[in-house]
Amino acid sequence: MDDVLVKKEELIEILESIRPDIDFQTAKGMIDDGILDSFDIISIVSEIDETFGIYINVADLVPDNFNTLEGIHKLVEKYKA
Amino acid sequence: MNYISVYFIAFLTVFFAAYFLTPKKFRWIVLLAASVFFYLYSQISLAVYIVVTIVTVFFGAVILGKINASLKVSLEKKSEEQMPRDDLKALKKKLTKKVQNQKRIVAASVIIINFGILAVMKYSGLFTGFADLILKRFDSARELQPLNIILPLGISFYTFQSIGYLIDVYRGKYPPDKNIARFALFVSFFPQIIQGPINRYDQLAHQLYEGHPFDETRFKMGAQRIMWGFFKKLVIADRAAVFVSTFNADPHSYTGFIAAVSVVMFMIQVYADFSGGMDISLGIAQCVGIEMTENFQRPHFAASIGEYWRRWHITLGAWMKDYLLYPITFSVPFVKFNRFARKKLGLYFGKLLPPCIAMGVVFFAVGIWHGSQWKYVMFGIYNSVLVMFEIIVIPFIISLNEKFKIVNTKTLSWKLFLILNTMFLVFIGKYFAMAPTFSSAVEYIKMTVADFNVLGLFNGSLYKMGLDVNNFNLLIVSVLLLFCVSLAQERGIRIREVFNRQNLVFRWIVYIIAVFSIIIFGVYGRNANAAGFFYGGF
Repeated sequence: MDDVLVKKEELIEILESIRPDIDFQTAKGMIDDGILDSFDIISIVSEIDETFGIYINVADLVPDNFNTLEGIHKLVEKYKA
Repeated sequence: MNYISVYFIAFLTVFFAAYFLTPKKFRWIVLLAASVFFYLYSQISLAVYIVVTIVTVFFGAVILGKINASLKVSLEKKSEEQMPRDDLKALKKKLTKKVQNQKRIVAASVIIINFGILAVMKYSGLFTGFADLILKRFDSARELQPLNIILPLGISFYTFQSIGYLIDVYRGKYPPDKNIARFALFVSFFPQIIQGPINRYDQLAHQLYEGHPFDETRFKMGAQRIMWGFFKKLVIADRAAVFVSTFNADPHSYTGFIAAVSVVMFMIQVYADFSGGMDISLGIAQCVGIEMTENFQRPHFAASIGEYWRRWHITLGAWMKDYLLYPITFSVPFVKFNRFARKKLGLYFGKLLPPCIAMGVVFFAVGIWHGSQWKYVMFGIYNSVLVMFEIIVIPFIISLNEKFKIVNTKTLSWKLFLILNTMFLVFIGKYFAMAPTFSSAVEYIKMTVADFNVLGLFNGSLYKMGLDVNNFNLLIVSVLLLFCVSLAQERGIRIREVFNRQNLVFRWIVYIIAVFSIIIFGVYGRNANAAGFFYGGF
């Protein structure tokens, strides 16, 4: 894998600092199944915005983008590009 | 035009006929013509304001759309040029920043113009009040005349709906509308103009522009919903209103118990009035194949204040979430605050405190959305505090409960307790909505506590509030009917579908009873505001 803009490990570190009880590598349907609540999303997005110097558009706050680690990773990479 | 009038029925008949007789391609024009007619009939002199909104937002969005599109093209062009990775990124960032500032200026101007108009219309009373206080110091003889402004029809609703569209275009959610006539229809569509719902462009616009075929079942369901709305409004709401206004006319001649009952009556009045109006509006739209967003979801079954506000005036709450709460929560200062809070206050408080404060601001906004009077400020603060308390404290209590198993939260009795508790909290808040002023609200609360004469239930005092025994009992029976229907709906029963499966004779008996009930038992003559609805005055 070349040209990864954002390291997955860095992302996992951020996510685990907010919800240390979740195994983000394997979790699926985190929004749909209510594993992450809206306050988690606010903290996660805030931390991601700060760390990576991006500003995630409110229009992108949809379940598909936050259900899995891959979804979040893809979203962040989209903004970094 | 008052919904409660023969003229409106006549208007609807002509409207439906015109819609379905026009070729599909031009049906949206019928909608526009009907909406223009409806608006001008109600209020020709103030129509200039909605026109200003339509024009400024339309062109603002078109400009934003152009900026968005040309930025995309520029960025793509730059990507094709040969240059080192980091240089490319820096260049893109600079371009985006420049464009961002242009967009901000455009959006801010449109928002300031429109919310400015709204603010002056709704809150000028505040300023003339303050100015008056100051003037009196220098010259007690002079008095500033309050502007006593009649609000343009639907201004609080169509302003929010249009600005929501503008912000969506700003965010690149969808391209702007290219046709100002079509956009005018989106803003002024008459079923939503009096008191909402506050619809979203991506959900409503295409439905308006597509011509819909006549569908017998759908038309029937729409008509039934309209009838149900009239029942709620004329038989329940306007009847309960008599009780409330009788009390307000001379509050000190009644007991504290009656004060409390009046607040309950007010709750019934406003719910039946507002949700009944929604039934009429959504029913009309349904008849022509348009599905607008629901604005109510049986708020009396809410198990928390947070949930109550997701079931009451749903579209206002949703608007506030998308266009006020999120921008605040994800603003730079708040994002920094979020990180700081999580570091200093630990994960629990850290993740809850920033959104909690943002929610507090939002509910304060919801309070003063109702008006500039102090009582609404109090109403806002009251709901704010309750919601903030729920956000911060409840998760902690839930986890405590899970550890120590104090209460079984899965039981019906517990759910019932939560519902009653929520209703009680809402009841207290309603003192500030029902009383004419903040100080009278406090008076009423004091009265209720000091003089809660429950015997009032049995000594006939309930029949002295403008409603005689028969009218009062009719109100109670109707409310019970409303409650049973809502209970069925809460359990997922689709009333109209079940009803339509019954035999023809049964259905026609119900129709005849319904129509005659509305005509005979409807309370007529309430003309509090332009369109006859409680929320039509906001």
